[in-house]
Amino acid sequence: MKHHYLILIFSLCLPLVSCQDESQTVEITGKRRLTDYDQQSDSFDFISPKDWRRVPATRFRELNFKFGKDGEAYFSRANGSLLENTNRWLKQYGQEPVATLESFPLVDFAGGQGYLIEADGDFRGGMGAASRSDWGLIGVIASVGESTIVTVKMVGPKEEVKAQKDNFLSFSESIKGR
Amino acid sequence: MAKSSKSFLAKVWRVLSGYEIAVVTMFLLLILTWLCTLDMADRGIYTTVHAYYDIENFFVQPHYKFNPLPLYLPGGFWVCALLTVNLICGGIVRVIQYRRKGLHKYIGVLLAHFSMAALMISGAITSIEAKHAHMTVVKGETSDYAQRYTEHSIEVVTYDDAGKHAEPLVIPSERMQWIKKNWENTRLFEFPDLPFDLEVGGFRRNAVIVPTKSEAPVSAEGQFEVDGVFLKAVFDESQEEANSGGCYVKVIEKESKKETYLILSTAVFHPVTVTVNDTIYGLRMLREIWPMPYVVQLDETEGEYYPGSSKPKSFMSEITRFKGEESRSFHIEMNEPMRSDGYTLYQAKWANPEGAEPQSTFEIVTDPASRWPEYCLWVAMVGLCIHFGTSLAVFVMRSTKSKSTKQPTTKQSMTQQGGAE
Repeated sequence: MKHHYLILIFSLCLPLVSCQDESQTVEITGKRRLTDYDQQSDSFDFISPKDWRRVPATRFRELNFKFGKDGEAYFSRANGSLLENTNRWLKQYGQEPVATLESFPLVDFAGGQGYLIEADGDFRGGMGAASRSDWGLIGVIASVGESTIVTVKMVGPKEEVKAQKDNFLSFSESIKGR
Repeated sequence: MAKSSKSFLAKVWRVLSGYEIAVVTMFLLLILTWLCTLDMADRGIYTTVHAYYDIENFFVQPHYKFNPLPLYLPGGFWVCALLTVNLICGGIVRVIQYRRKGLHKYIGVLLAHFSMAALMISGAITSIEAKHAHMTVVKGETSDYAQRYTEHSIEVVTYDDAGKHAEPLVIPSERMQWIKKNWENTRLFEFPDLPFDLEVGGFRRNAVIVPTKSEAPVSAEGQFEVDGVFLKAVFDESQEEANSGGCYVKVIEKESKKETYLILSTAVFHPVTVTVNDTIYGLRMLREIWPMPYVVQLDETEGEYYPGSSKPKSFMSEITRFKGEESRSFHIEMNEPMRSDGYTLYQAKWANPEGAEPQSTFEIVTDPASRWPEYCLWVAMVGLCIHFGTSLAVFVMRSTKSKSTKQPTTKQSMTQQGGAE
């Protein structure tokens, strides 16, 4: 008699414990239709270079990319004037400040034009970044409206930055706000 | 042997159909509901309802003020399941008993009894199959999607040379459940249409992305650096919608076997990318998106709160539903949802931000058993009306019959005693 109870209890428990292996591999082929969410979820349209990888945006980097081992490229907004921000960048590389931006070339940027700034040398650090030697900077800076500055900046080992210049300029030109 | 088997089964039947099971299960449900209500105040509705009533949980350890109690109780789903079995078995026993006395006399009671069993079954279906999402629409605007605040999916898109992408491949929320149970759990997802597969793991219910230059990752907690940052778990919010889930993803290229790590988080509102075979792919984890089978336009919306409080008094919306060429207007307010195409839209929230148009948030529910409780209660009401109605009729008829047979005897006795006449 007792073993009947055991068989019953075991039979009742069997379906409860014979669960599917949750860790098994799953094949994914399902897609979902594009919705309004896809239009709203990103603030920009752009074409990024294939050897760049987009990483999470931060508070000060609305578009944030990395390339190579230490290379970075990012789109930001800044306060102050075009001249103030340009001189800050130059100072970070030990270069003399400029009195005017006229010597810098204009390039296509975010539907308009911006000043192309280049610098290299020993990066003195700042804004939370550590100092680096043999570092390079290529950046574009432009004003939007009366008091907003927008920039796209690429930093990293000098040779890597130089090699990415064409990619950088194409990317800068492609940026469009939604 | 046969006699022994028969009596064993009879004993099992006796137990399953007996009042003892009904009393014990109802008492357990009372305790579970009480403890869950107390627990809910600390750990939030999402965590506690799943812990106490999920089908996967055979046992539950209640918590009080975030501390586990030294007590294990059977899981609520399975207590309800046992009660349902008891209701059905007990009902069958009653049918067999009533057949001897005349089944027609007890049809009302049986209707009410089995409608309660059906109500329990509808609860089980809802528990397993129901899904919830939310849609927020600003007055004058439209929306064609809903979003599940508490469930996560991972989406993969392929970018073309113009930086555009088509429909994303989706790892649905159901496939994420195992990974979400413990940060040590991982799962491999194969993509036949892509040149890589994904291994997902290290999931944290609420996490922040921390730069390694400000803090070092702790490998014992599954933290490691990816592109200068790592995923760090923080205190879980009681409201699930306030948590930002995050996970680690390993991109495994099929040809080269090269592995690239990424961090995905619902706090990051854009895809992160990886380039494989000269094509850029975007990956992101988000609160699961439901494309709706129609577009909802919010034509008008009003909300009212009780004076001096934030307690909602009434929220209402006038919407137009566009489905292909067809359009139709609906009125939605609290307790008056719209049902269409398998979705039920409830008026959930309302907001009127300063300087902007008001907006309505609808809770969208898919539930194959959504109307069962209403139908079961109607059947129970009909059954009880039949039962009480027939009982009342029988009582009245018996009383009338009794009076009519007694009256002549009373007159005779009064006459004999030289009574009133």
